[in-house]
Amino acid sequence: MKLIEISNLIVYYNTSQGLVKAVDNVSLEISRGEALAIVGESGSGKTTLALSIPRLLPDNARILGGSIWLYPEKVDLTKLSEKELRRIRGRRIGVVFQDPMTYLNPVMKVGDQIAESIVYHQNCSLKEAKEKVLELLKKLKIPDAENVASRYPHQLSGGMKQRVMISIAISCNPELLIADEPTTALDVTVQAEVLELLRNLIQELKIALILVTHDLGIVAETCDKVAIMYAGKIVELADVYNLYRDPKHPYTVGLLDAVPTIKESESKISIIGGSIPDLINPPSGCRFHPRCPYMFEKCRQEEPPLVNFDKNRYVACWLME
Amino acid sequence: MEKNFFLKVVNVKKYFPVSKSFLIKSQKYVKAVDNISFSIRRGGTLGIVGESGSGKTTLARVILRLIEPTSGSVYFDNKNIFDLDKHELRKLRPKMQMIFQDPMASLNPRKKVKQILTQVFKLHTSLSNEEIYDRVLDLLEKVGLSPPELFLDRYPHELSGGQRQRVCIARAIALNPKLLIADEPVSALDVSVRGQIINLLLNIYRERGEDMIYIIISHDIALIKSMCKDTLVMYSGRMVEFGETDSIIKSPLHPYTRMLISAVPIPDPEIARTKKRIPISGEPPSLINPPPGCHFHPRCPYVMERCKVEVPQYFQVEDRLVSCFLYAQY
Amino acid sequence: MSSLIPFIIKKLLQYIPMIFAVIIITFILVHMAPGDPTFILVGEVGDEEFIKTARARLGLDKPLHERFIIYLSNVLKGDLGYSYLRSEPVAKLIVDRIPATLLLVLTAMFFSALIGIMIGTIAAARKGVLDISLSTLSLFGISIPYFWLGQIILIVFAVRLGIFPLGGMVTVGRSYQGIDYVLDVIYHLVLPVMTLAIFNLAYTTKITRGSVLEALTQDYIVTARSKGLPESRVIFRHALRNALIPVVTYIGFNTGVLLVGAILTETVFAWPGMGSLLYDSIRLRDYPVILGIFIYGSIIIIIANLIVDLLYGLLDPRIRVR
Repeated sequence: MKLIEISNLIVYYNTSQGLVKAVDNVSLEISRGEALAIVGESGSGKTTLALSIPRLLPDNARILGGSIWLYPEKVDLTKLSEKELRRIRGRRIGVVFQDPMTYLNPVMKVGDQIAESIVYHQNCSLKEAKEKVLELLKKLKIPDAENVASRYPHQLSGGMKQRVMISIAISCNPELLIADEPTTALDVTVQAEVLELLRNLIQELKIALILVTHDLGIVAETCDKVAIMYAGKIVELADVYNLYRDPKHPYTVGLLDAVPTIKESESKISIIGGSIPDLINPPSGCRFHPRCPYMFEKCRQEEPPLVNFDKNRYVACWLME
Repeated sequence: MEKNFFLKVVNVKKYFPVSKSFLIKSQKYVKAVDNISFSIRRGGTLGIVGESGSGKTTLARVILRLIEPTSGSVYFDNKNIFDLDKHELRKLRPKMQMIFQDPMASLNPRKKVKQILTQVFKLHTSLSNEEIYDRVLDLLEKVGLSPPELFLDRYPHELSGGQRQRVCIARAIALNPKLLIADEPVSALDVSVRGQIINLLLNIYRERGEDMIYIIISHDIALIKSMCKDTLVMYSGRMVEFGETDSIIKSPLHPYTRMLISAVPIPDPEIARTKKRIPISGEPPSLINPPPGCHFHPRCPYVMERCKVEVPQYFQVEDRLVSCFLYAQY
Repeated sequence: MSSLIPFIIKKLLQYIPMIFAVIIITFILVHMAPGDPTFILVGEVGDEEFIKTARARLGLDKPLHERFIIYLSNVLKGDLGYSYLRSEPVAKLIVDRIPATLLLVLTAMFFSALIGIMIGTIAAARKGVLDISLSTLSLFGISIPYFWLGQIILIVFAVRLGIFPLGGMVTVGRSYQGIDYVLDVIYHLVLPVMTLAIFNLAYTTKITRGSVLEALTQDYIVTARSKGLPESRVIFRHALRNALIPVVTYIGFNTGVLLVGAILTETVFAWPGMGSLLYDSIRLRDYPVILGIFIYGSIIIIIANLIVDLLYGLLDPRIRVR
């Protein structure tokens, strides 16, 4: 069952240097209960793509084309008014942001920050909402929930703050949870705890997940489907097992080998040369071509489309022709 | 410099006083580095792994005496670095270099690449300007900034993150240091650029590794696995385990090391979803108010009564050192 | 809250050198200013012997540094001296006038803060014409001098329209009691408060606008929006609450400016406060009173700063005194 269908989405940023082509003609689908990863480096457009669904983009972002359909009623989120969208944000789509330190209001008790969306979306009194907050915190296995709810963010540890963010996001039982680098600011052991919690929650509550990350390690543990983004485009889309076993796009191959792992087998670190392209003037043709070891003439001139060539596998590369 | 030089760290402590009130000087300290000892021989590579607040960066800075220690000694080149006066320390500086996490912050934004690198030679050598120029070109080539002429006149902000880190590496290896400490050398870089820098550091080591000591500090044990033969695991200011990297990863002894290694995500869905997980609970303690006894005891699944009161000493288990009472019978 | 007392003591100790500096600087400035109180007291054409005794009586015959030491030791004993002209202790003169000034200053502060924060927030939230016109208006408000504004307000509302009194604090010749007295004071208070508040109001608006705009760029605002909250709640509950910290700082630290404004305003409206006392005393070279007012003024400013420090903790839990 389809939940979100993004088609030909174009999102640019207006900057003093020019238009930054952050998301350029991207299509993507996510079904109910599915866990999708959007993987990319800084400047790949992964966060812009994910946050354009609830339209939580910076002021200088412009959605210049395409649509984002929300099912079952099939409304185009890009066309909704702010007021209509507010009934979807928080209620049907929850968001967990990267750095819980800056994304939580420093002068509000965390219990009140969680209760807020419950009050607004479930038409209940503040008192009822606060009871629901305590239930929620207990569900997230937060010890001493009453005490935690009455604290301010700076009095909590990083992992606890991120758990508070997660409870804000799921407080109204959303159908979709967007997690933007949810563990990047956390230590390894805390990251493992938070991911485990996230996995259990989405399974238990049957929430669809969009996990935005640069870390292929946490994707392997958490997601069903992976979209690899490079310079504003999706270059490969596959289910998680196929992608890791048999990556097709040269960028995906490079990305998987560029990071050392603690796997038993000694893996040599391979290199993707060059650096991330400028999105104001992206390279012609395939945007990866200046860094691609298999580059040929066609790559320089024509942009490869994202084509389906196997069950659930899409790759945008002329090598696949 | 002696032929078979080594680095020996003995009971090094660094306590930062915490001022609580303005009238009464409090006796509270943040014990950022608490009684650490280890040694490495020439040609050795050591990884120091720990999470934020474990004291790993402070330890590196104390070893190089970039900050003053509270107590202990560090022997390098047969001298106790902590006993040297300013002049002697300055003479030793070219032999001990550090690469920092954030290349932007460690490069002077008003100086061109050329000036940054030339300065090193001018400060510590008596080479002529032409010789220095040649050396600078060589260095740039060596760290993969070629053609070097293209980079000479650039300012740090005109370089990409990876290129900046290359300049930092060039500066650090300019005078053939005998001790090179890299503190999270790739953490600030993008994933696809990380591999480039890791390979550069590996190549430098391969080229002159036998004649130097390499220390890599990171929160990422996988990075350390790819670069270091030995590993020192830190937790809350203390060393909990020390030994060969491969055997630590294969069979971690200290409960914290086990938890840490189990927590590292593996980019392979088949392994990731079948591997046995060690349940993780809690977070690292506050350094101002650490728990008594073993700092790890509140999170430890094997906690015993004595862990709550006594600080465990080091137990030798085969070729490894572990600070945990589970190994007391050895 | 157990460390609240040491916190206040610590702050007060920090201010002691400041009070000394105030005493030294004003003492020097006041005595360096041309003019001599003796002449004002006895007239310029008294006989020489008489002037000499008068100077000796006032202590003005001694050299400056000696006079300073005498003054300072008296101040430390809590004695601010006698007024040259009014034959009353300086402390009593000032303390009698403080309530009137405080009434004026605090009322002006209250209304300018309340309205300024409201307008500033609206300006920040609504981009476009409204913002531009409010910002321009506030720029005007900041640039108008008190004495000129006071006179214009006086001419328009009291002289031309005649809806408010010309000056003073109570209607002369009536002895109102109870609620009538309060109403009479409020009636007299309107114009001076308006004069005094406009600058503060304009400035508070400007600062609030900037501070709210800044807060609106913060990450937690995105979180608030991600909850689907109405924009009004995002702005007032999330942005303004965080934006208030610099605004409160400004309002507190501006007490000094407001006191100076009060001097000019009180003079224009014949308001019987410290300001008009200071104005008279400067005109008549009544040194002890001038110095006394400066000392009291600095104490008021110090108290205001202390209140700001305590308010900080209330507004920002991160620096709350535990």
